[in-house]
Amino acid sequence: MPDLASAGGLRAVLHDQRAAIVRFLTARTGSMDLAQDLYQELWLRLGHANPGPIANPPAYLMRAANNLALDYRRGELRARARDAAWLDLDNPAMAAPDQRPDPAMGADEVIAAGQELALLRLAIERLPPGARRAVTLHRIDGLPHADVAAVMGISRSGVEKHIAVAMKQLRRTFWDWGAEATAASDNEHHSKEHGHD
Amino acid sequence: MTDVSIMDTAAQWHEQVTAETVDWDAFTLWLEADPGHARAYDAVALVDALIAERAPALAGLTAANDDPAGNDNGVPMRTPSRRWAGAALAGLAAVAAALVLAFLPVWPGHGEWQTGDGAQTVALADGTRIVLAPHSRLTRAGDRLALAGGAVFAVPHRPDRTLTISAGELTISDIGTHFDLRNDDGIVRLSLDEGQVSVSSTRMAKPVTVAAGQALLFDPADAQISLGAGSTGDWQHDQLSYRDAPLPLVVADIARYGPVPLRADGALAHLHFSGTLRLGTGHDPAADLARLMALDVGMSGRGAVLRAHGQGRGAASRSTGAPPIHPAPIAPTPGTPTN
Repeated sequence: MPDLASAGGLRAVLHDQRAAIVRFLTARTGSMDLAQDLYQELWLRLGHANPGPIANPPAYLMRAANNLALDYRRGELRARARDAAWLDLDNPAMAAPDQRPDPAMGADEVIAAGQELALLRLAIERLPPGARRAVTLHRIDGLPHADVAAVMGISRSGVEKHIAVAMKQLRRTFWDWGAEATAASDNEHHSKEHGHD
Repeated sequence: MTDVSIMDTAAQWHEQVTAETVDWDAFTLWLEADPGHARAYDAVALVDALIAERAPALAGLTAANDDPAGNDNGVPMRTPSRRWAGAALAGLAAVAAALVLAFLPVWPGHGEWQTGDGAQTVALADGTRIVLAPHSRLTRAGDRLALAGGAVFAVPHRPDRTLTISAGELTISDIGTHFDLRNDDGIVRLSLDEGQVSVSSTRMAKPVTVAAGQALLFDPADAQISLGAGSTGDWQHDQLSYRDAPLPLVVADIARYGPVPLRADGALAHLHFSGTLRLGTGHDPAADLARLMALDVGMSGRGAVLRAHGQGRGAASRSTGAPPIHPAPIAPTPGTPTN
């Protein structure tokens, strides 16, 4: 099958690029062990992916490694959100499994996803009105800058400034969230396999 | 404070990563220079990923909470958030499914759109634009879409991921293009006016590449797949054009895009039609089709029905010779693949 052939080809490239990818992952995650784990994960996932034609395989693999590092980081942050949320009765995860959005997903995952969304929503609501409107229209509703400018009755550069302000503030919120989570888990091991108790 | 400028630098790196222009060695060196750099980059990338995958859920939420003070300048408000209304209803499902990170290239998100009598534009955060035809349904789970009915896709080129769309038994893998896809109960038509796509199916020995200017027709009854010349999205311009198309497909289109439900008597299934039908106000495509093909159009309980009219043939033909839409039948999956 062609997808197997292309996965095999990608794995060969992955092998060739191993040093660069592990070095990148080490810098990206701050842990050499974790970098090795993620490299293995990348190897495994290439067996299932059917990426179609790829113009630049080494760059594709670096991007994939980068995505994997972000996924892992999100997993860490969610783990913290889970611990905090069990008593929230409004949470959809409290519903019986067959009433959950996706019964296959663990209750704690539902909670964690909800918290991520809640944090993002709160951060957006706290933006200055112009910044909030611009970022909502552009990033959430998908309107190009020119359309956002028309809807808001301001110039394109005004739109760009609003969006820059919004993105700075949103990043700051999630940077703070990440810093708290990191501080809270500093005493624990870094990798998932060695998670607490 | 320094972490503000670190965050700005991280944002620039993220922009280059997203635009595929990044020098990965230089990026690695920057990350190695200070452990805080990776944390800043995490925040930048996380916000970006979250907004992209939660756009449907957020559109519902922010629309419900929209502060009218933000729009007190008298400028007429467009409410593009309504696009996402269907998805917002399934808000929880969207939240949940966004967590399922099944595939390597992260192009996350989840949604579901169903149109009534009108078309609807769906804009995804990665720049993909989809115009969903009337009476059609589109679902999305990450980088996989499924279509019943019709839609025109405009997909930006992103080498890091492959958008796949399932339509009946076919899977269309897209690498940056503009095309019109229709799935009428498993009969799939695809016409492309930009780029190229790969089409695969468990019933085909190997994937078929469809290039710009070509159209593909797949009939699940015999797993026959054929390529020909195509025209993309003509229904958006209030017309439907055909070259020797099977009548049931023409009727399915009229039922979808036209003003009244229409079906055809089963005895007409073998007929083919060539020509252009007008849609929109003042036009009755069913009546026009009936006149062009010398058929009768009558009313039944659920809408109009096309029936044979005496022995008249009109423009109808019995698919003789080599029809333009079937110039080059592609090897239609014999039992086993060759290797």
